[in-house]
Amino acid sequence: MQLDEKTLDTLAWLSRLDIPEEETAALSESIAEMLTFFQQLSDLDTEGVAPTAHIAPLQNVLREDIPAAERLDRDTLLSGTESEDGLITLPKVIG
Amino acid sequence: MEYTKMNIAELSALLQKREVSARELAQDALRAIAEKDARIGAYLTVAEETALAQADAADAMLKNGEGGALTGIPFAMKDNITTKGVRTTCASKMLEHWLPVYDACVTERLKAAGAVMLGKTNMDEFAMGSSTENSALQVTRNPAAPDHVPGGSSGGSAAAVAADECVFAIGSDTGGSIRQPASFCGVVGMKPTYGTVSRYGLVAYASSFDQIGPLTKTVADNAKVLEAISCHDRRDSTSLPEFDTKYSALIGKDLTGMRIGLPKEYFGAGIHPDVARLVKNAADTLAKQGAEIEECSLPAVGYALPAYYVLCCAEASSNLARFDGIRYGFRAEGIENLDQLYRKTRTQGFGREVRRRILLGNYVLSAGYYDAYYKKAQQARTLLIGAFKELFAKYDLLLTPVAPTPAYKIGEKSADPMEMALGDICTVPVNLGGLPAISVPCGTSAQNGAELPVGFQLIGPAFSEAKIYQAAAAYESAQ
Repeated sequence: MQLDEKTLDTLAWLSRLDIPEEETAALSESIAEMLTFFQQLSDLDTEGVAPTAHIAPLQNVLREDIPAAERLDRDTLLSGTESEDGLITLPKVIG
Repeated sequence: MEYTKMNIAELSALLQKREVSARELAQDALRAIAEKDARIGAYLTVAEETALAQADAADAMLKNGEGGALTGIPFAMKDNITTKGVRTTCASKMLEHWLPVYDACVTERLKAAGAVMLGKTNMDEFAMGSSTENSALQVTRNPAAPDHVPGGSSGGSAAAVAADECVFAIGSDTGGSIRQPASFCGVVGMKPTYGTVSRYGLVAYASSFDQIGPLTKTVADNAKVLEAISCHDRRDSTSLPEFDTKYSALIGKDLTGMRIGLPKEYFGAGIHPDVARLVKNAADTLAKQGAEIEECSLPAVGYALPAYYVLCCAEASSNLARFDGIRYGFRAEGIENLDQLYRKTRTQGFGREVRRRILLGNYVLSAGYYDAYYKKAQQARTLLIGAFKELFAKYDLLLTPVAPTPAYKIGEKSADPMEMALGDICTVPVNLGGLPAISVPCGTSAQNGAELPVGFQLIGPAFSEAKIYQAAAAYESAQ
């Protein structure tokens, strides 16, 4: 089984990846094999079962904004990044 | 003297009595790395300068009588945990030259305890894999049999402990990445209850599963390291607010009355006969120590592996979207527009397995497939959690293999990701449930002319680490 070319193209676009031509056949076969494996789940009766997104018994509680001294300064944040005048520099990407 | 062959308790006693200094221990460990690591390949970065500075700070603490159990003890850190000023690569070209500007919570805790970080260990790229063969940077070999894999994804951490290139190591476990390499290399590895060790500074792979934990030479050492790194941390929104961290409290107590279940599904087809025999021998040993052992059943584990892979790929596809070539990390050259910047950077920066998991994750999350895959897997997760809960009403702990086989040869499974994934069958149910589980060495299997280590796994309900360590230590002391 292989994924059709259109599906693979859509996935590559969603993932912001290119798929090198020499990898296309193997990748398509390998993804299709995993999807077949995932199909096992369809045998499971999940009628009325709530999905679990996260295991921790936590609620989204808003807390007070508390200023902290540990904030990183601009120079630290920019270290290791191409920058100029305190701003990140990028290649020209808009025509 | 090769001090790194000793355990934390032994070395701590020597340090407290000032019979050895932290600097001498660090120098000894750095010597061990220089001698052995060209053959093993456990370390991606050796941080000699940092280690010696930390050792001097530890000596000052000891001199002032401020030292604790880990002060002056040399350790290795998995390379997906941030270390300020020491490169953190995730074994990926994407972050090959990245110098973090902050320490992970775990790094801060170990620094405060006076432990001495020797360097950063190899792993499967972004922790995606089970053999460390997916590292984009180097090969790591199993110290017990150098033509075999060390397991993964924390393969460098397990190999460093097993080869005495450190005293303990830190790993991370998303689907077995601490326990399986611990089993393959013959060391003790613990995946703690989800939410008890902060993920602040752990480069995210699958956030609802990822958990940091220790790899050590002994069970007691493991409990000591976990006591040092476990805490509530407000910077990790899934860090639990309150829990007991006295993980060593029950070590040495006998096992009379402890009920341990052996789920029969873990001993079925695909489990190597030597693994089944050694784990059942471990059950006999625990019974002699007073535990009540009984076969039980956990049919829901049959769905654990597909559910896990759906969910972890989905989470990975979202988490790894941050690597876009803009703020940090690798950036492709020869860019003409924004789409190209993203696509070329990600295609050249990520290895094949990482790209495969991102594609799979985006498939299961896309409109039209979401309910059939992602939601279904989340429901399977709920059912598995319920099944574990039922079993833990009857048993204190569950005893299983860690992996279906001992370590395999380098290259033997790397071309077949599906076969590699099937090797995670015994470990992923624990991550789906957020449960704690340990891997403890229980013998070797003679294969391919080598004695390959095998471990057993003890699984407990959330927050049962002290009980897990109690049983594991009782087994260890009977050897």
